[in-house]
Amino acid sequence: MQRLLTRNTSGQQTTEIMKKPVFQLISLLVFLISVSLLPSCGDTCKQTVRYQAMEPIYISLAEMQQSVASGPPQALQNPGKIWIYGHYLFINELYKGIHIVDNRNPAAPKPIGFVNIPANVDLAVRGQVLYADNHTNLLALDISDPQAVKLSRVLPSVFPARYSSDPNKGIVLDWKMVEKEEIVECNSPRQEFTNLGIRSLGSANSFAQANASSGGSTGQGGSMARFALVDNFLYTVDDNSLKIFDVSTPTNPQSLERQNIGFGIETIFPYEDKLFLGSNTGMFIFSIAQPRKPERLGMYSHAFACDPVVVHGNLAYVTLRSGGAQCTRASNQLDVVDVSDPRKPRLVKTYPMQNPHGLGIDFPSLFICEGKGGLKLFDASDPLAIDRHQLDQVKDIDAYDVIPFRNNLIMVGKDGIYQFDYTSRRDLRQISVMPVQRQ
Amino acid sequence: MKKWLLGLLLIGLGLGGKLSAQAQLGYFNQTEFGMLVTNQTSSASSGKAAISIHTTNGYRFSQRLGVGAGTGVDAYEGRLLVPLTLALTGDLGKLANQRVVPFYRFAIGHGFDLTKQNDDRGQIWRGGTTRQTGGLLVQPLLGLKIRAGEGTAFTFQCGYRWQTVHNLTEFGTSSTDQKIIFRRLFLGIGFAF
Repeated sequence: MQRLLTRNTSGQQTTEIMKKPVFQLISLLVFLISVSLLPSCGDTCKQTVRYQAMEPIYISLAEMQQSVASGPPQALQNPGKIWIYGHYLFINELYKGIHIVDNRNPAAPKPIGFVNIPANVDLAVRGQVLYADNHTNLLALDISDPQAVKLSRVLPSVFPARYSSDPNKGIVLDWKMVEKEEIVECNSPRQEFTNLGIRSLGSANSFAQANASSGGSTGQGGSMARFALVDNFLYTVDDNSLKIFDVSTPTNPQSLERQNIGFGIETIFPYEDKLFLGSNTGMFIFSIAQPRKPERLGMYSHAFACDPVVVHGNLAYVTLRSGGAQCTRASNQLDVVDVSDPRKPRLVKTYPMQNPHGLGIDFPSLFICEGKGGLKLFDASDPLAIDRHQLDQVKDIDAYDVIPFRNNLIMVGKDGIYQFDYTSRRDLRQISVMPVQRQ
Repeated sequence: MKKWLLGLLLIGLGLGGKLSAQAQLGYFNQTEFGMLVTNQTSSASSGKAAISIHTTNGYRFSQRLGVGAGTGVDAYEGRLLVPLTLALTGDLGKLANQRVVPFYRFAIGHGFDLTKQNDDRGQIWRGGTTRQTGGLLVQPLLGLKIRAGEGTAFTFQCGYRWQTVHNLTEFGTSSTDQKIIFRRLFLGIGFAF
């Protein structure tokens, strides 16, 4: 309390006691400040999300057809399938086109040209004609002059669309990895979806290989091919069907029928009068005794896996591998299958493997690509003892697929196209490598 | 930074003016216990009130201005912060003779997050990592000192607390940086000497 000294009207000093409203002051202070500040009291949360995303690269239909052209050699960046014809190598550059390489001297292969073919994944060569896919189209190209390849014929819309398309932007030709950054509210639900969804797409390379199963093919057909040439017919497979073309006039292929045969079809291997189709769930055997109308004979079933197949005599060699978007539940192994009765293929023996990819056979030499485990050479004379006859192994390379051709083995690896001499049949002698120059 | 502090010191001495014989210059301490409240829930928090204990020690250059350094503990929901602040404080009323003296304090500093870090096992980013870090703290407040004896007083204060914290989550090539800003009303009681 305070005392206040005053004087009354007659001049006498008086004292009055004043009561200080302390608690009223405190209450007033709290009230005033609360009223003014509470409306702006509210916690906020924003988050900055950084992630990698796959963005499509579009190409219009018109641009795609107009851009098929022959040009000078280009660097090897993302090799896919290979076709050997004569002394030339035709190497697919995934979604971009085909390298043409003069391989007269396997110790020094010489790129001589590049054919630009957008959306290209598969190829086959007969004589002076190169067959290539171009999104949904089949192209026939005159390669009589490999350095000046000319487009002879386009068969439009004969293959199912491999990718989605946007009517305003065109066809999805490829994907590219981009860094993204977004600022959103903390409880924004799209963040979990965005991060998880984008992550599941993986890298551009693995996405391509999930569809393309990069590998190689010989004139007789390699283990990873989706195109096969037998006499005057071209046989192609997509995910669920077999398509037949009449190429009796090489520069003027004719589209014939399509057979639906299942799902997860990955590879085709022609052998004598049969076609062996590899799929996620097994190996199909078709007779092409009537080449225009292949007839299904039988099937060898296996666990869900990626499985290229090669055949020699009455035996089919099938590698099963785990890993990748389509091979998630398999084990890694080599199956030897008796196909003497194609209607009742029978497992002879299973051999555990590391992570087998493509394979090739030039009997009795059996070549198996083990991915990061390298390349192995086996003597397959005794189908019941293949594992006891491993003759050689090339380590420190990531091997995808092989084409054995007249003592020269061409291998598609992660970092290049390798060539080995296997004349001795007992070991592999590296003679050259065309390095990949990835961006 | 040093020039800024020196300028503040000179302004404070100028504001002090003629000193009263009863002005309490020199060392001071202000300690309070309070609540940090909000009336809103958001993606940042459920709106649960936080507890704050804070003490400031410093030097009073004049009745109007003192400079001090403070620390304490702030317990938010799921988070424990230790603030370190630099404060300006001073009385707003008439010199010394009043029993109840209004005062101000403006503090700025950094709140250090001492919450125990988890490695995120069991959460959606299985295998990822999350780090919690503190951030900038700003607190202006007004209060009343009620003299309790020679050189001591009880205090009642009301102010605004602005505190930033971060949650950084990394999983492979992706990362999420959550920036949470606690904007709270501070109500506290304490003492000063």
